Parts: sequence; C-alpha cells; structure tokens
Amino acid sequence: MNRRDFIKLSAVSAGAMAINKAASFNIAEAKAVSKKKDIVDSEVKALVFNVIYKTQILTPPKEGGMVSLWVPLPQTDQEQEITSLSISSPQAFTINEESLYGNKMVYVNSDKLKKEDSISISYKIRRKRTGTITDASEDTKRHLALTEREKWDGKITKFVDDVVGGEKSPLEIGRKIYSALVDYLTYDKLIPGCGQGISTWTFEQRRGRCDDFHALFRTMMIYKGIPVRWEQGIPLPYPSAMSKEGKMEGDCTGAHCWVRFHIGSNQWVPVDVSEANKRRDLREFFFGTLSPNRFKISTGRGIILKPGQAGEPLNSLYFTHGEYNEMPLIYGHHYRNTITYKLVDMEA
Amino acid sequence: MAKKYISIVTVISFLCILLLPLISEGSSKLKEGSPPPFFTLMDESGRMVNLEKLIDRPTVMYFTHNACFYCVQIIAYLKRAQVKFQKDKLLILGVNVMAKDQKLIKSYRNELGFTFPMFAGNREDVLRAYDINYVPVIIFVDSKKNIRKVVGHYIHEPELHKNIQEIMK
Repeated sequence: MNRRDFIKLSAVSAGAMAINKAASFNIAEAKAVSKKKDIVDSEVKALVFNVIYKTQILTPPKEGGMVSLWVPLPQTDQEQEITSLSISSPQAFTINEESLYGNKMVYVNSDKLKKEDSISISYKIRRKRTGTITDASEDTKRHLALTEREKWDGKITKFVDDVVGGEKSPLEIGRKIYSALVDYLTYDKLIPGCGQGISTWTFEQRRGRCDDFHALFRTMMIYKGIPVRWEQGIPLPYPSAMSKEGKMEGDCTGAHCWVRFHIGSNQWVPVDVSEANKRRDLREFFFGTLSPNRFKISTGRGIILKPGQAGEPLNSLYFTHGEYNEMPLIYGHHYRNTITYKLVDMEA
Repeated sequence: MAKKYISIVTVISFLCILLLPLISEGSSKLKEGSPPPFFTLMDESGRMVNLEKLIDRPTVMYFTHNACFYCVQIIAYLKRAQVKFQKDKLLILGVNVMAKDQKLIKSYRNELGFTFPMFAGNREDVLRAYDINYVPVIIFVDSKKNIRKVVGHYIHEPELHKNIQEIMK
C-alpha cells in the first residue's frame, strides 16, 4: 500500500462481549432512569461505550523533519474489555509495547504529516465496577520506585508516622493514609491548567487534582514500603449524570488517575482518593472499589515509550506524546487530541 | 434527614470555595509586596542570565510548559501585550518548566514566534521557589521589583492588560 494512501486497519479482538442482557438496559432507558434520579452510582456494575481517540495535526513544525507520535492504546485486562478496535492513519504505523509496564501505543513516524491529518483510534469498552484484583504477573518492586516529582520530606514523613502509628498491615496502613488524605486535601476545581503531581507541593498547598492526590498517596505508601501501582485513564460522567454521548479535550485537563496498592499474595487494592474527596457520599466506596465511569489507558509513572522518546520519561501516558527533530511538540499548537464517547449500555 | 444532610454539605462546599483562595495564598511562598525569588537561568543560547539584573522595569514573568493548551493561548496574548505596552516599558520573560536546557527553549520560541526572552526552568529549586506545580502561572512584578499579583491559572486578555496597567502605574 502506498504511504500516501489512507491506511486503515481494523483489528477486532477475540472474545465476545459477555453482557448479561437481562441485567442491562439501553440508552433510552438509561436516560429515562437518569431523569428519575434513581441510578445509584456505586451500584452500576458496568458501562459499555464506544470511544474515538483522535490526534489531529494543527500545524506541522516550521522546522520540518520527522514527526513522531505515540498514541496510547488501552488494553483488555481484568477490569475492562476492549473490542472492535479500529485504527486509521494517513501514514504507516506500528503498534508497540513498552518494556517496563507493557503499555501499548500506536506509533507514527513520518515527515509527511500535514495540517488536519489525524490518527483516529476507535474501540468499544466494557468497563466494570472493580475491586481488589489478583495479579500474579505483576512485579511489585517496580511499583516501589518514586518518580522525580514524588518525594517525601520531613513534614510528609511525620504526617505519615502520626497517621499510621504502629500499624503493620498494608491494608490498614492504606486505609489510614487514604482516610487522612481525604480529610487533609481539597480537590481544587479552580485550577484550569496542567499539573505535575509534585508530592511536596501538594502537601504544603493542601490542594490539587487527581495527579496530586495520588502522587502524594503513592509517596506516603512507598515511604512505608508498600508498592503502589499508578493507573492512568479517562474519566466519564457518573452513571446518574451520564449523557448519551460526550467529547473531551485529550490533554492533562481531561485525564484521571487512581492507584492500587499491594497487600501481599499478589492482591492489589484500588483507591481513588480524589474522587472520594469530591464525592464524600462515596468515601467508603472508593477505598477498595472503582466506579465504572472511567477507562484505563496506561499503567505506571515515569514511562519510556517504544521507541524511546528523546525527552524525559513521561509522568504518565494518557495523551498522545509528539516529538519533532527530538523536541517535544507543543500541545494546542502543533497537535490536539479529542476523545468522544457514546454510551452503549449500562448494566445495573 | 437527607435534606438536612444536603444542606450541610452545600454550606460546607460553599465555605470551602470561599476559603480556597485564602488557603492558596496563605501557603504560597510568593508574597505580594515582596520581591520574587531570583535565579540565574539558562536562555536559548545556553547563556546563564541573572533575572534580578534583567528585571529593570515592570515585568510579567510567565511560567509555561509544552503540554499545556492554555499556555499556548497566553503566549499569543503576551505577544500582543508586548506590542501594545512597548517592550522598553514592559519586560515579558518566560520560563518553560519542561526545559532543562536551551534546545527546547529555542524550538519553543521558533515555533510560537515570540520575541521576549525565555529560560529553562525545569529545576527543582526553581519549581519550589515559585510554587510551580500547575501551569500557567503569571507573576506581575512592578518597577520596584515587588510582586503585585500572582495568577495561577488561565487568564483572559482584558485581565492580563488590567494587571499590566497596574504594574506600569
């Protein structure tokens, strides 16, 4: 196939959707129920939605040269099932997997990308409400490493020591730190910018968004020697407020993250500290459970892509990373990501 | 009972929103009326520049990052502000907190086409001193080298101009 031709590949993953139709209802019904306000967010078992993740070139770099794009590709795991995967790109691409966490990405490297060219990935996701998972394949040691932005100082360690006391159980340590942070921090909706998840900043400022909450939680847990796995994804509205379809900016302002900590025997407990802070009615729920109005894009922090990017390891992988001549592309100038979703089913 | 709970939550939420700016300002290292921290930072040619010496007139210090959509929009506003308020009367200086050296600064500047100086600010001491976690951050410094205002979020062009006029008085 000619490189200039529009390349389209469809790869439908194996495995049929195992939706229990008896326990599910369609969109029209979902909207009707939503109006009655009788959807309980914590009780929805799964959401099924179609997603289009699109990366569009706004302005090619003035310097010209090769442009590299790494577009994240979500994967099927215990929490979500990806089917009907379809990828379209104006230039040749490969699907790569980085070696540390196994995150996958669509990689395009070309000097022919022009204005308004776009790489579009569509898929269907069935995302479940999940709790503690058992994952024997996971190497706990790699989740004990802090990134450049995650550091503890004397104030943080004193806070943790005071909160944890003599507790030795990883589960109970996690519960104590989770609870203390929900009370200590404030979710700052007023920040319409991009954060870096700096632990010391968050502790001092006592505010932040999901990156900040979970970077601080991770820092505190790792200080106590407990591995914490970072999970990066895309948030969707809660089932009770879910519309039939929606569109989001695919940058730092449109992402969400949560973490899982290891309690031994290959068991990983999820927590969403920032959502617990925003939704106080779900405070108990978000210790050990995740609502299905999200999907996971990647795992881990400090990510080195494949092939490796010229710049530093990425804080996390949720939006397309781009480079030209070994320089990072400028988001909003060179390229832009949009994520659109359509709700297909809601399993009560 | 449910109604009472909702009312309490509503009142607490409202109080939190009111108090949030106080919490932010109270814990910030940047104080209005005091000078900003000054550093010697690398410019696009690799030269180390002492910002204290550079700031000789009302100044807008702008902290940006390549992955920030809002930041690109503000660059456009700053380019227009430099023309409107004249660069011999107003200094605009940028700090890219993604950049560790001159290469990234140079490409950022070439691509976005601004002429004001920009420096590499991806240093822990710089980020801590200026309380940078989120970008954009804009610091308005008056002719006496004191901070007049810190804006830690996106700014609209009229508000940018209003703050510039304040430091130029």
